[in-house]
Formats: sequence, structure tokens, C-alpha cells
Amino acid sequence: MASGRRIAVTGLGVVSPVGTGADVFFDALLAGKSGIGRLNIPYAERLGNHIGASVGDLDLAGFTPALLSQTDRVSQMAIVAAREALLRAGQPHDAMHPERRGVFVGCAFGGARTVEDGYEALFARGQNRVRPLSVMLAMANAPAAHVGMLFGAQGPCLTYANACASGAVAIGEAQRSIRAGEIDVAHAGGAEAMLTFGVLKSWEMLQVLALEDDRVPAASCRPFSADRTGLVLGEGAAFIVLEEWSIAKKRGAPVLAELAGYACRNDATHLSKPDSAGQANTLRAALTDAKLNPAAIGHVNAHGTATLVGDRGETEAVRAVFGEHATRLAISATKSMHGHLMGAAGAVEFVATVQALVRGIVPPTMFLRHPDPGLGLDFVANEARPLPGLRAAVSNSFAFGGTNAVLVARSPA
Amino acid sequence: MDTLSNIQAMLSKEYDLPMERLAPDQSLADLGIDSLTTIEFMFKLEDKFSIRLSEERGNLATVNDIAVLVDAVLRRNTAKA
Repeated sequence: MASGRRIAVTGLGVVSPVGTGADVFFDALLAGKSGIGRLNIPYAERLGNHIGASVGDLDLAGFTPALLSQTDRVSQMAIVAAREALLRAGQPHDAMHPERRGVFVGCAFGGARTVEDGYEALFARGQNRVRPLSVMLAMANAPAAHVGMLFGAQGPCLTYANACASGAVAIGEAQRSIRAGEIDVAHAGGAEAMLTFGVLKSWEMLQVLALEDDRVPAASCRPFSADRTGLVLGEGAAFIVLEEWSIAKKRGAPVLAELAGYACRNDATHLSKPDSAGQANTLRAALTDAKLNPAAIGHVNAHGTATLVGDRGETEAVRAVFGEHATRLAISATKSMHGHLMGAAGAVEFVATVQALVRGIVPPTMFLRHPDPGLGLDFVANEARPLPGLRAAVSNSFAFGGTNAVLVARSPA
Repeated sequence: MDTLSNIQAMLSKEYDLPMERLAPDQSLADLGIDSLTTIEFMFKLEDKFSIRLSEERGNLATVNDIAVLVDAVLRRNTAKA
């Protein structure tokens, strides 16, 4: 029963620093709008680096008192994105057994704000009490649990913590679960909300954050540009609805794309240093899983964090896998606009990848002022590009810890 | 502002509820305020009124039940002082 099961993407939902809503989000990317700017958070004055990509005020319309009091920001963003995805998919679950639906969520940290508020009360203010529900607010699987409860999904409800690849891993593992015949529908995505003083300070100490651009803070993250200085932390959530192909077709669901391939591999070499050989292996495995030749791919949503080493390594991996075809790929690094959403990054970028297929246009890599002569691929610099013939695309996610995850999407046919 | 009005204002602000839904005899459960939410709200009440309610978690069914509880603790604290 399981073999040959195809996976349809039928719904998208996004909460991002460039806008909430999968269409608002993608329109902003096409327009080159950056959500990066100076952060307004407690203790920001003690940060050497004040920039980030914040979602700002969340619209929590429809949240019950119970939901409001029992959710950290990370779960709130997950709920908003997952609700949109389900709304767009057209409620696939009504006639389906709850155990045939699963939830798969990437979340690298959990409820960072709850953790930090608690520590601030205990250590900085000398109090001896924290919010009574701190444990449930902060636990990393809270976003998945809330999405499961909202939709009454009683199949597997899983959380993946694989740093920057978490969201892509969650989507990929959902694909595997549907393929294996364990479930028929998955709510899959990622959520992250860790723009807090302690988290930002930790990243600052690692010396991988972008320097604030003197003139235009919004242009501080410049993937694949010779003057790139590092990544910009962001927050947000993205969810998709995945369905077994024939079930989606039978109910007349809006099939946006096919999740054709996925691979997850580990470098097993270094905690933070990217390994282009490991990335290339993962890319190859994902293309094999999709049963696609490298030449069939037209677009890559790059991991593209804008670190010196990371962008070089990814370029090498793409060259190694795609050979001569590498120069014909339209490669977009959308982190230049929405920042690095960590556990949500792979999910939000997969939504961008699906949207590019649906609309036949790929978003730009913004602020690419000085192409790095050592890289030499087509990074879709600074302006969106119509690609009406685009039929298949890849989304890369490469994480601290060595986890590489690659998703392959294809136009429905 | 008396205790009940204070609590109605807090409930309205915390949970985005219109004041007209917060009559004294309004059921908390019907507002969607479940047991976990009540525990979190009691924590906020402790800060607001500088009291401790940790051993006072009685059977809180209505908006007014919360005000009665807080007033009782406030009166006891005043008597101690």
C-alpha cells in the first residue's frame, strides 16, 4: 500500500518578518522587502549587535483565554500559520479518521521568551517564583501539541530539533510518514521565537551575526555578496498541509505542488563548520528520492545565511551536484529579507519554494551589491525573476550539528 | 477601583474579552477560562494585589468568585497587620 504514494502540498501558512499570510509573505519577497531592522527588546542597549528580523505584534484574533494564557510566542506563531495552511487546504480532515493525521514541527529552541522571563525574575529581580505554566509554555514540543489539539490530529505529533534544518526535517519526515502509509495528512512546518536578550547575546558571542549596515539596517544580511558579514536572526512560523495524492485529488483539493523528494544526512565532521561534501551527498539523495535528474531543477532556495564560509560551502555543493547545470539554476537566498528563522527557516523557505512554482517567478537575493567572484553562480541578484517554465525546485537547509536536509518540490502534473 | 472592577479590567485586558461579558455571575468556564488559565490568572493577581493565593485555590466558578477570594485574603492580611 505504501509504495508509490505521492505527496501533495495543499495548503500554506506563514507568519514572518516580512508579513503574515503565505501570499503577503511571497509578494513581499518578490518586492525585495526586508523585515530586518533594529530590535526593540528589553536590554537591547547591552547588545553589540541590535539587528534582527522581528514579526512585531501578532494578530491573535480568535485566541481563547485558554490559548492566550497557555502559549508562548512560539506556539502562537505556529497556531496562526497552521490555521492559515489548513484554511487554504480546505479542511481535509473532516471525513478522515483523526489517527490518520499527524503533526510534524521543527523547533530548535522552544519558548525562549518564557525561559528568559523566568530566569530574569529569579536571577535579576531576586524573585522566587515564575509563571506557573512555565514548563508547558517553554517545552519545545508545545507548538506541535497546540497544532495537534487545534485540529484534533491524533496520529504522530513530533518535534524535530535540528537547529537551522528543523523545519525542513519536519516536512521531510511528514512526507516519509505519509509514504509509509502511517498517515494520510500531515500538518508540517516550523516555528521559532527566540529574539530575546540572552539568545541574541549567545549568538553575538559566536561571532557569526551580520554587522549592522551603516546606512540601511534592513540591508544587513547579504548572502552570496562579497561584502557579506554574517546572518541575521529572525522569528516566525510556516506550515504546510501535506496529503496523500489520490486523497487530495479525490476531494478536489488545491494541489499546489508535489513534495517529490527529501533527504536528510549528517556531516559527522564538526559542530558548526559546514561540510560541502555532506551537503552534496544530501542534495544527490534528495534528487534520487524525487526521481529527478539534476538538469530538471530550475530553482534553488539556498540555505544562504550570508556567512563567509557557509555561502562558499553551499556554492561548492551545488556545483558538485549540478555540474554544468549549476550556472543555469536561479538561486535565491531569501534570508536576505526574512532573516534566519532557525527552526522555522526550512519551513518558511519551502513555502517560498512552492510559491515560486505556483506563480512561475522566483524571489531575489537582496542586497547582492558585489557578487563574490569566488562563487560565480546565478543568485538572482536584487530583482525577482519570472520563470514561467519552472517545474521543479529545491530548498536547502544546513544546520549546526551537521544535519543537512533537502526538500524537492515539483509542479503538479 | 474595587476588587471586582479591578479583576474585570484585568480579565478583559489579559484575554481580550469585552467588559459586557464579565458580569459578576458570569461563568469562567463559559468564557473559555479553564483550570490552567485560572492558575496563570491567580499568579497575575498575586502581583497585582501583592498577595499570595497559592493555598487558596478554591472552587472558582464565576468572575465574582475570584473577587471574593482576593478580598478575603486582603482582609486577612489587613487583620494580621
